[in-house]
Amino acid sequence: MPKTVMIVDDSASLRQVVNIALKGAGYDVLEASDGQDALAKLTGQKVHLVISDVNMPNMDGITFVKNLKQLPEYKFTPVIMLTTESQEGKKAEGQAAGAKAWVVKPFQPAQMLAAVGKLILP
Amino acid sequence: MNTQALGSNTALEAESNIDALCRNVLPLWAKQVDAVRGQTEEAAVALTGRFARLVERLEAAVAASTDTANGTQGGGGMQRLLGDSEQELQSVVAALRSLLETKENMLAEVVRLSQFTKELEQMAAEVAALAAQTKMLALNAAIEAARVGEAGRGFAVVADEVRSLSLRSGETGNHIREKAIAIGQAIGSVQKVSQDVAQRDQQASAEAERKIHRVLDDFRGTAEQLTRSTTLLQQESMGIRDEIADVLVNLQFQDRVSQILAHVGADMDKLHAHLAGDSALPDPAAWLEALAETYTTAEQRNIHAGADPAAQQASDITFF
Repeated sequence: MPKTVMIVDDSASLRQVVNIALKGAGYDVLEASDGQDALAKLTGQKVHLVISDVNMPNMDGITFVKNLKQLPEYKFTPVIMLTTESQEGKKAEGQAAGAKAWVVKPFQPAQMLAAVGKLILP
Repeated sequence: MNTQALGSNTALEAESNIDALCRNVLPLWAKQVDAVRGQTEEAAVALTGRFARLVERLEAAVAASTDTANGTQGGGGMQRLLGDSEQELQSVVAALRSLLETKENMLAEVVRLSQFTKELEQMAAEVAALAAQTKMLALNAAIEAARVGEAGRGFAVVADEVRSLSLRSGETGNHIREKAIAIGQAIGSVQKVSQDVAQRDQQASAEAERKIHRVLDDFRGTAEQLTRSTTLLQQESMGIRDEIADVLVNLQFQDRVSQILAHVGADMDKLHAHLAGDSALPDPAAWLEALAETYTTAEQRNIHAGADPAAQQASDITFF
């Protein structure tokens, strides 16, 4: 049974790049365009890992992760932040919200796959 | 009107003109920037989609080629076909060899049979010799019977019968010898024909074996060529996949471009809102500070600081 990864990003092309990399490695991929969209789409789904952008309309990535961690079924779901932000202050915010890794765009598909493989729930 | 008043009026007119220009041009700039964002997003989505299909098609082609060469997906596979053919044809060669062996055994039996006919011939000759001796014995007996006169008459009858039997034995012996010679000749003919046929069979079998090996060698050569082509295709495909991975990294430029343009557009909108609302413009330093707060990429901050706007290199990962 393939594992499911959700990619949350307001850039359709970025979502597609992540989608190609993950599907090529055998994962199922769910897409959401911002934090609000992601929370709505997560309901009733079994997602093993979430990759989220930080700067998004409607609900930014940090707020989304904080909300996600409030949901009992996603309390322990690993989150990778994928963003253009490389400032240490922002990284600290992501860590405090509950993210497990911080990837600065542009990402290498192989490195992203390695990070997903390392963090994804069994 | 004095000169100072004239200059002041000109400055006011210029300020009013700049104000009007900015009110009109700023929304246009903002729309242009937004349109560029939309277009690059659309183009990037289309490009990544095409690359995704390229990767899928490449993987399908490699899988099909690998299956043809090795039968990995349950198909026949050239290597498996070669193995099966080799096994089948080797069994044909073995069957031919077995057939030849049977024929050789049969020929040996025929040769053995010709030995028997010679013995039979000898035995017939011995029978004839015995008959001749018996005849001589009967003749002597008849002479002796005649010499004793009347008393030997009975013995003369027996001697006559023995002579008659020896004659018939001699004839039978001769007949057997003739038949044995005829059978020997017939067996000799069969032996010769069988030897010719065996020789031809051996040649045909050897030729068949040579042809089978040649076909298998050709087949093996083609299979090896196919395997080499498949390996090359797999290597090339991996190379192309790596190239596409690089393309996918580079296509992420759109996300950065989009964010930078969004911030520029938002700042234009902010300036236009100030002008349209006729509110006093804030201090330039405060404006720039507020603009810096919106930045999300290292190159925006580099540009703002007057440094080299080198783009972010892939890929920086921090695990918490």
